Amino acid sequence: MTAVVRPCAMSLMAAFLLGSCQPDASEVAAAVDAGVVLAEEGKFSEAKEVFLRAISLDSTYAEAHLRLGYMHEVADALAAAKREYAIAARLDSSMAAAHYNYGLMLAKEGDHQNAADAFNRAIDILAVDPDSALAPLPHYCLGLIHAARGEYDDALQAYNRALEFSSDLPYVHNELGKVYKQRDQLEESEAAYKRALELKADLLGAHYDLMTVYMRMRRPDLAAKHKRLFEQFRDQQGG
Amino acid sequence: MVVMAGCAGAQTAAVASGPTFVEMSHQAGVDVRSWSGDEDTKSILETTGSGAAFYDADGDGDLDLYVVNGKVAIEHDRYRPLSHDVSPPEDLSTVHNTLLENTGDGRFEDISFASGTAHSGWGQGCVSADYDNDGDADLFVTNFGPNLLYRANGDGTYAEVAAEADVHGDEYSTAAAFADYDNDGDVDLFVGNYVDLDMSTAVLPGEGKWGITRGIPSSPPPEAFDGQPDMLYRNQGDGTWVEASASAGLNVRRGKALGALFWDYDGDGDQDLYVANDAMANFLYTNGGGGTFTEEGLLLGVAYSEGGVVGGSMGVAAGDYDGDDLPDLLVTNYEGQTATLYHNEAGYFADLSFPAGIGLRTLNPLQWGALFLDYDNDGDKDVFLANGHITAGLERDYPQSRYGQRNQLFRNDGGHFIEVTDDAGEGLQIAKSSRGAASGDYDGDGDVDVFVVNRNDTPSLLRNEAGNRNHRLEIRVEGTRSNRDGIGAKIRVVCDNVSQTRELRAGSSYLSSHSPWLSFGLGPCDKVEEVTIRWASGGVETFRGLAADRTWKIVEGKGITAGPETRP
Repeated sequence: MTAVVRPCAMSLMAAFLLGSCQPDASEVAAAVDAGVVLAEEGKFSEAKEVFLRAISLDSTYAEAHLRLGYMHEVADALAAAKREYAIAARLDSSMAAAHYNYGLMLAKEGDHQNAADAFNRAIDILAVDPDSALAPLPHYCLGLIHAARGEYDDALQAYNRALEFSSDLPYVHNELGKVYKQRDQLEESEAAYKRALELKADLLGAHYDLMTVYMRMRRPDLAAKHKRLFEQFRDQQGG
Repeated sequence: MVVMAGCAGAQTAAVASGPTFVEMSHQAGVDVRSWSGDEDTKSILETTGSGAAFYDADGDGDLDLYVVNGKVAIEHDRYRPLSHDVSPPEDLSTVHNTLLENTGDGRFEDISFASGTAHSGWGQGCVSADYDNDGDADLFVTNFGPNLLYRANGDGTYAEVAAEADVHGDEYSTAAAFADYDNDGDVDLFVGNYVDLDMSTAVLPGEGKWGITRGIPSSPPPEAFDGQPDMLYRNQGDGTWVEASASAGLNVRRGKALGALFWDYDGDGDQDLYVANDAMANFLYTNGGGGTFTEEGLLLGVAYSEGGVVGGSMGVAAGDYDGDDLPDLLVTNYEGQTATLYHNEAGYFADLSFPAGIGLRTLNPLQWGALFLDYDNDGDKDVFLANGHITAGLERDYPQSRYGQRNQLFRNDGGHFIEVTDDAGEGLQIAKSSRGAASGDYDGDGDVDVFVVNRNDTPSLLRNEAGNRNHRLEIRVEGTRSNRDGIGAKIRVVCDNVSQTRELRAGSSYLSSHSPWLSFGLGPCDKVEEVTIRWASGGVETFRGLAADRTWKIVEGKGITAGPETRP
């Protein structure tokens, strides 16, 4: 996965678990619901077959394509996942999750401009649903794209917008830390990384980057501390 | 910002325009096809490809070329059938490493068999140095299997003495570099080893967790294997070597080495060692003197990219790109990972890949060969990357994972890199699966050229056609107390009050080795105020008032002599 979107991957399950439509008595809806249950149980191959069956019953059922896309993504079949997300977004232009996940696939291919467009479409849709768990994520991903381009002011704006929806997103604080570090705002960077670690103590990247910040601040003692923590969590996580 | 440090004295120089690199492999007679198994790789062995070395094999003052080759096929029933775009030769003995003698007119002559260096095997990398200090260039070649040490006989032939010298090993050897790490006057040898590969048991495409990549059956990645210990051979000065990796402090962790270089990153006068490992932490061994190293890549910020992201690290280059007299580091990585530019901040390194302009442009390409080179002779280090995918099997479903990829050229603009590939001539528009890249002025016209090994294809000899519009200086050195090649010497050139420093090394990039002569672009400055050389022995010498556009030879303790002018 690209450096730009790797942190975005954490949103896959969050977006997947969102119920995007009201219960429907039709056979297709029932099939999709059954597939969702199978996926939640980790039975991804079976869930994929159920979603394929739902599509065979009704190829215009957007949610079936969206869910099938998730299953392709779990299997690392990213080209197929991208196709399904694109179909879902075309069938239901108001489906924020479809636009968002399509944007993720574009970003993984390095097509950052079109990815940004897809994220912006998701943002526009979610403007009427600010309580949605998905709401902060496209802002966060836009921030990654801006940061990669060196557009640090825009990146900070996007990350802070994401935090307005939910202040407890460790990955966003982590990325704020990176931007502040690139702007030589080391104290702000330190604070952002520390906040990320308060929320998720085993966030490897934050320990590593905080180590580098402390080296830059000529605080080798603190750098060594976060080096140890990075190594500890890296080894625990099988890295 | 730190990235702009040292740029106050940047020279305003003529900017190269028009075609910059022209592909000349056929005209020059170096279009020998490289082989590395199947395009649709089934084994990791087929992915690594090979490298090349520019060096003066015959001592006649111009650059010859050694190109390592692999095999047409893995000789094991588990790896058939094959798929080749081009039918392999019927006579497989024609697939071998190649020594090409520069005939002085822009062409090369194949002297592989006459010289005794036409080895056939799963060749990986090569590096040249005069390890026995007898005045001629020797050659070390890495293999999957026993390595080769070619000792030059002084008459254009070589004796292969690896087994006799006990430096042959029998691992999956890749990167190699010579340097005098113990400062005893002769060069020692580092050999990086990759993964523990058993062809009879390795995972095949489609098998299990490691035989699938993005839903496509593919050769297993490095994560499917254990690493192998690297080797550090200490030169005893009498033709024998002692394997000293353990006593020197290497291999605390087993790596999966693909790239390596010696450099003095901390400026304390001894040779440190950087090892790029595939899909795991890279190693920075700090030389503590007395023949020992301490690995501290993680704390110093060069083990991973920003965020602690592990890279599929392959090629390495060292050079001072921002003119602050501290050598920086460039590491190539897998697709989706960016090439990583580590800025030396005197005590640690900062990953400035994105702020310096390298990051975004290298997110997609799969990079191998890494060069710092001053292609336009304006006095700062530009960047060249050799790119190409490991397999042809992905691009059908993933068009962004193209097998053949363009190499990239970045012009240094005050410490910020601007990609100029589109405007760098037809030689940079070639899209092949490139691997090793070596630089040197093979045609002696005053600008640096590049040779690229392309997997399962003919190579690219990229002749530089625009760099010599600016002035330039070439320095050739010969050690007397130091090793004869002068490896490890640091040379600082001051012209128009702007200084630049280069360090002479043997082995870097990806499986490759560059010209042993150091080139300094001078921009519009045509009279060098001062050249200072700090030898590996610790001796320092200074020379003043040198004319530009000329080759100069410095012999340790014996002065400097003018060589030929650079032909325009």
